[in-house]
Amino acid sequence: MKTIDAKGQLCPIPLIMTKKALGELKENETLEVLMDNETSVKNVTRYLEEMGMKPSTGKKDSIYHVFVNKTSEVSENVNVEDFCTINNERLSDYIVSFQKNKLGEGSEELGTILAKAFINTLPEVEAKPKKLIFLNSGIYLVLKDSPVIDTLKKLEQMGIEILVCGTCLDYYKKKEELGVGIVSNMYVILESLSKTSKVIYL
Amino acid sequence: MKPYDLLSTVEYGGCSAKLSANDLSTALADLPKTPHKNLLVDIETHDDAGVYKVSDDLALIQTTDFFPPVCSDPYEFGQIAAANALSDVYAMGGEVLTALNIVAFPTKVPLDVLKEILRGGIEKVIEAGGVMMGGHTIVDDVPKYGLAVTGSIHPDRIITNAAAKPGDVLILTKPIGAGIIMAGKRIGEIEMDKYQPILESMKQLNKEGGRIMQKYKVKCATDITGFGLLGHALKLAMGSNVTLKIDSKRVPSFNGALDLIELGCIPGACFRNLEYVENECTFEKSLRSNHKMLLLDAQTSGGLLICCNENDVNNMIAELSESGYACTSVIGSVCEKGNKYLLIN
Amino acid sequence: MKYFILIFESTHHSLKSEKLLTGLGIKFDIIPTPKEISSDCGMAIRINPALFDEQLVSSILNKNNITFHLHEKVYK
Repeated sequence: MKTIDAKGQLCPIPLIMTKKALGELKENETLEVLMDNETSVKNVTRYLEEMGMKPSTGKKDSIYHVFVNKTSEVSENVNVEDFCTINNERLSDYIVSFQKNKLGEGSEELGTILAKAFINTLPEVEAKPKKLIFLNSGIYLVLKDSPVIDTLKKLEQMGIEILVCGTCLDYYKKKEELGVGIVSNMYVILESLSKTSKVIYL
Repeated sequence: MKPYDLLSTVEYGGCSAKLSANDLSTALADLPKTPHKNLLVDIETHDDAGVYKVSDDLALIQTTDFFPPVCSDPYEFGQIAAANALSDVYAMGGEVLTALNIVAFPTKVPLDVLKEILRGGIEKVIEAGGVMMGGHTIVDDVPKYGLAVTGSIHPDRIITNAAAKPGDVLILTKPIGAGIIMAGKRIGEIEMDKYQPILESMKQLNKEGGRIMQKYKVKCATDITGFGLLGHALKLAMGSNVTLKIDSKRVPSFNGALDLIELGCIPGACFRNLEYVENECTFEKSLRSNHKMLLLDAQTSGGLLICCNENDVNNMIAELSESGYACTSVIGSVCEKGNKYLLIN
Repeated sequence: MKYFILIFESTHHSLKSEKLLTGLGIKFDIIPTPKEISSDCGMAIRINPALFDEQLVSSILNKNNITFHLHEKVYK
């Protein structure tokens, strides 16, 4: 029998400890969980019942002991892709770095419209980047009034990380107007760029 | 100056502060009622908001909500708590008129922190088009913040949670799983890239959602907050005497929430909400336990659950998506009352 | 979800239309012209049908000598 001590732990720690311990047990082995509050006991026993097991509870000297026999493979092998489309997005190992708010050199207005089209097309691309980085004038694309803000928010909700250079926001005095993403610094940005397989610079 | 972490003032395990639905029902049972011909929506169907008719074309919505910190940053907390309190007005299809601050604050925490909370709240009320009238503050060990809100609505256009019709389609405007992710953040199991989206979602007003509902003459909706998607769906089903069928696979959720459940990171509120709904609910065998917990996750300032006429579904979803609710999804349908109020697969 | 796609005869027309429609306060997205509609590289405008006032849009674009073709596309 394996005993884990969840006394003094507040929810949801006792549940996490229980799940982890069950994962390490063999079938038919017994787990004992020690707790000191009724709420945790109720939640852990309910959790075990939901997993298809039959826990029993005892109390001794104001400590609760919950015993359960591990009856089946605990991990449900949850197939995240089965669930909703938000979790469904498999992201590819590449990053797109927007060094300005335009694409290419030459005409400014053409560059601006190309950048918008690029971002608006990202939601449909099969191999989506795992991160988008915005530097220098690229930060204009992530401000609250950016014409592509809704698309970027949608990409963020799909799990694509959006990093925005804090120095650049500060330089352009736009820190208060950030509409999406996280304010980042050169360390984080460099770390991201150096650890990825491919970077697309725009 | 190191930013003050509001979550350091919250000692309990972060389970949502709401009293369980069952306890609330017990406390409210057998209290004297105050029926009145001008009371258009009352405590029977909606416990934290009511509608009172003032004239033939004006009714006032009154609602309130407040709670301890749900995040570290005081300004964000102010924004989220305010958006949450304002949400009921929009869920009823109304417009925000005025708000009052409700504040509890410890003496030992720097006043700058309180200032930031209030700034967050006031800016959100301004964004909602409302007027901040003042408020009331008391001393308490654990900070709490929220609003008492007054809204306006035409008496014939009130959207309630008791008017669902069989054949209606169920639409949800924001993802669920915020409670789980907040719990995950508290124990260090989640990174910023998965936490930031839920903060943004909680700060987002349901204002445009309310406007779009009125445009399509929706009669029945509710907002998703502390009782989770299933808790609020049950209230709506009971209020309307219908059965709601919800397909768990179609319910949008925040990235990372399901992974956290897999680890066992399930807030206590999920179990409280399960106790509330389980007797009125049929869970199909195909429903995985982890998905079930997700549907029970308490939300703060969640989205709108809308009963939409089937002819308007596509247009409504398009408009909602365009208006900033990018994850709007059809999640089920309304049927004639069957054996149980909720049928979940 | 179905969207209307406005296709133009040149990128200059796309650019001009973008400015005109923005001036009218219409909400739209700039996207590359979908392959199935045209193989030319070009920029198109995508509008949600619920927000599309055909008369208004035609009127302002025609006034500015811009011809456009209207297509439909379903996005998942």
